[in-house]
Amino acid sequence: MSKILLQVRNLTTEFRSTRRTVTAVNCISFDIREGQTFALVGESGSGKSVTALSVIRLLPEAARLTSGSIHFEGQDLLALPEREMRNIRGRGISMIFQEPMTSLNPVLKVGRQISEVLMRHRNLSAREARERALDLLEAVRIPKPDYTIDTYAHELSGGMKQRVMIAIALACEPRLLIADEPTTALDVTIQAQVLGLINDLRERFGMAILFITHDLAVVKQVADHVAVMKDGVIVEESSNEVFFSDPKHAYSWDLFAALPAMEKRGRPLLGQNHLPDKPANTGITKDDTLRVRDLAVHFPIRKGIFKRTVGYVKAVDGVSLEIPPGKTVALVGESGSGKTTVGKGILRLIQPTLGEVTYRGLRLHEIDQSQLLEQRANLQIVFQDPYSSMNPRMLVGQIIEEGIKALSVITDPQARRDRVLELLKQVGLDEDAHLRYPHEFSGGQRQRICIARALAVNPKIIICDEPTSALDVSVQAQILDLLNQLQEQYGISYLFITHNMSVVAYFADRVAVMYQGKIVEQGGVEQVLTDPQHEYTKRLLSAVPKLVPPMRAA
Amino acid sequence: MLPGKPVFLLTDILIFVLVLSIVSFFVYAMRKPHLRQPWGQVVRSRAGIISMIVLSVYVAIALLDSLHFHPMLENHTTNSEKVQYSGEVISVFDQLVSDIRKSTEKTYSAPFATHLYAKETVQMADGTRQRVYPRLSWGASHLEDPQTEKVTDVLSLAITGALKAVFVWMMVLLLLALYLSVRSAQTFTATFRSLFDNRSGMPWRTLSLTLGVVLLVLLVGAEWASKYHVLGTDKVGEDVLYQALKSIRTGVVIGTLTTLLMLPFAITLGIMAGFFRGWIDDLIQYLYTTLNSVPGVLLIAAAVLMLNVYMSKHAEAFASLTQRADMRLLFLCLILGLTSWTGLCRLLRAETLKLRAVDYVQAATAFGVGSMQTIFRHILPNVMHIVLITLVLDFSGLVLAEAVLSYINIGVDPTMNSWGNMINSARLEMAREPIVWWSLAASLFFMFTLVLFANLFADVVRDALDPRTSR
Repeated sequence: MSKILLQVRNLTTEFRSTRRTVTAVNCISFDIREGQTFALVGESGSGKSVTALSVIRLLPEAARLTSGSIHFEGQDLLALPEREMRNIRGRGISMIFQEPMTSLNPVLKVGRQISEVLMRHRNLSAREARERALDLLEAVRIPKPDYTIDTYAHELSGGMKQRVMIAIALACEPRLLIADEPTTALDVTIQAQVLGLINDLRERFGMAILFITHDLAVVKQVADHVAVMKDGVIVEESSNEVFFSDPKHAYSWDLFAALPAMEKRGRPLLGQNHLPDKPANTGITKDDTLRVRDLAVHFPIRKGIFKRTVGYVKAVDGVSLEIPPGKTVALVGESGSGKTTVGKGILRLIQPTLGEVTYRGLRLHEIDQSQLLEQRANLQIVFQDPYSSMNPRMLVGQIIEEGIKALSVITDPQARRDRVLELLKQVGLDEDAHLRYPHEFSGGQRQRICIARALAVNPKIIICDEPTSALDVSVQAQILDLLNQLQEQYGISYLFITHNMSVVAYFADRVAVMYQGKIVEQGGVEQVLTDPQHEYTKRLLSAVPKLVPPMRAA
Repeated sequence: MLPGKPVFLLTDILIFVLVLSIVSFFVYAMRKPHLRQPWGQVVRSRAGIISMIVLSVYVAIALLDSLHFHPMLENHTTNSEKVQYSGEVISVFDQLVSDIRKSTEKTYSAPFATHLYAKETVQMADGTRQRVYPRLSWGASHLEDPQTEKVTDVLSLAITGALKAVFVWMMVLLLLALYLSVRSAQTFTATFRSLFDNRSGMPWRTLSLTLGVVLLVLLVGAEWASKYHVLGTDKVGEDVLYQALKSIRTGVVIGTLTTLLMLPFAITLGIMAGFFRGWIDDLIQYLYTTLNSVPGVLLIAAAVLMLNVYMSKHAEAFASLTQRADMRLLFLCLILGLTSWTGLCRLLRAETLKLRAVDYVQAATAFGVGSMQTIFRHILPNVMHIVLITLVLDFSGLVLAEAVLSYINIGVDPTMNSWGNMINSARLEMAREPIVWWSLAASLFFMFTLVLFANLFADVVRDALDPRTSR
């Protein structure tokens, strides 16, 4: 077995504020060997990132390392003065962050940012540093490195930026690379490329990687060794093969159970039910299908003093869809493919340029405001970000009530209040929630409130715009279960906008794949996922990291 | 009861309306957790509590100075049925400090002086004429031999003042401790001791000490002012301390009313531009860009000249000099407000543009909530922090603007006490030999203190309210 590179023993990190002390990392120990990829997995708030920042000694001011030791190549990092620590950073250990957009300096050319590190740590001249930077850009497989080296960050795509970040991190050939959710902000096809790249570079440079992620499928693909963190503690640590075939800890099982997958269709992920199973009579009939024909949303590009239209951004360019009653249609695609715009175009939150949307014989894209108002109750939306989708200045009760009031669903104030309480119970929240403010709730709870708000007006169709992508897997499982139950009970149909293929496989009945404003393929979920016809769908599916969660023997 | 017939000046009414609305806002904010939290942060910060105490002294003086009335004439006979009122308008504050208001000297005298600052020819007892510095008619007139007694007298007055201050301070602290101990069910002594302790989350020690220092300055100053011209007298022998204190109202009125008058423009236009976009946005943008490119001073000068012409043509419309001066003050606020709303308007437009694309506004649209309701329920409450921050930040700038404008004679009425006017008249005195420095120093000191603490307060408020800086 190879030598131990990083040894962490009994590390404890606390956050202190005037009122209380929070232990973010609680007495954890682990070793990383040379050339090994060590994955630290956990949900948000489990202390993964704090662990990484402790190792590289870049903790925020409020945080304190209260006990433990960190040895890197036999050197005690905690005993080093800041001056020498600076030499370790970059040369010994370097780090790449989650958000490539904000990690690069926007006013410096890319080449300059790479050579800066080289000149600082390697004492290279400007000319040598530039040549080395070119080599590095080539190593991270950036096409046309001699062009890219003189560009600014905003000229590059997200994946390119992350490659540049990796190039900077690798500039001094570190022994250990800390990658903090390096692919979370990237599309799945780009993620596959970046993961492949990191793996290749590890072999080429012979370095070790501390890989921090919440995504078990990614872990399965890259890691040699896996440690699961929960509430600041490592609850399980084992090799990749052992972990993915026979996890020991109950929490690991919970994580696997929460993962949506094709095999789990038709069963609740968490096996809890809030609702009686009898379907309610909502008056949805078979012909209540929402039909979208050739929907197009073009944003004009205006220039000059008179704002002349010089061209169009075709965000959505001829999309046709059908959402049958009681079914879930998934709209998948990468960022910028126009999925969200389709959702907003259907609801006329953005006025479509062309095409038609028909529901119950009404042409939604043409009707006037008063008719549209009547239809607002039938079509609702749940947004991606549970933090920005509720007015922070309003009580939860008022938020849920708003739609009932605006659409005059219930006019009696007492009856309205009862309805709010009923809705809160339906989405699995306490009744007293209606007198609290949104900031008092966690992300998952907020998403429940948003669902309650949409349900309040008895919609027939809910457009779910990535409702779970900001949530942890276990919370995502709760929300998916809730949506499933609501569908069974009320026969609501969903247009489920997402980029997550495993959610699609678990949740959707039909799937439409979007690429650059157009739908390239649609059909039944099993047919599309198992036998994709279009080139892009094939590419997309092959990029998704495969993970068949181990099933607990019954 | 006022000892006379009340007079309601427009600025008086407006400033009391403003104070009432601020008080009711705080009562409202106490019950809303999302408002209580940041304002609690303001109260809990040390800079916040110090500046609030100092500012409240200024505001208290300004408020007392905003209750105007015609005083009753003292010499009216009891048998005449009709009570006679004087034609002049004074305020409650004037009444309180009538000692230093009425006791004018002949001309300049230095701070704490016993003699005039200029020599006069005096007929001596033996019939000869001599050029001497004559004794002041009021300042230090109680002293037999000023040369030997003055220092001890000043000191003993200071000690009396200090003792009074300590007494009042202790009384206030005891009452505060009593109130707190009843509320928190702690023992009285423990509560009293905690008033000198900053560790309980609330900076009680800072509060107690600031209160002590403020009381000390106020009461020692009052003690001195009862016998001396503490800051000297000006060219016509008026007490400079009185002038500086009277100027507080002018400064506070300009600093607050201006913002109040501009708020309706800034808020409606800013939110409309951001929310409705399209031609409304274009129109409002062109409006404020145009207004912004006209030099502010020029606009103000033109407006003030127009007002002067109007006033001299309609002299009968103004019952008294005070009313005339007040009209001019209000007009100045108006014109300053008209030139300064553009900044806030721009900020609000940008914020509204941002908010309008935020999910909760989109959700409201999906529910068919009307534009007006969306604006009042979702946009306005969420841009209020910007309004408040601008309000406190602009305050000190406007106080300084008044000084500059009065200095170049397009500010407040020359008969009105203001720091700008004081500086303007002190300008000529600076060239005099020996130099008369106290008018300038007094106005600078009072203005500096107000602006400094207003700025400190503004910083704390911004830190607490701005979502980007709050932790």
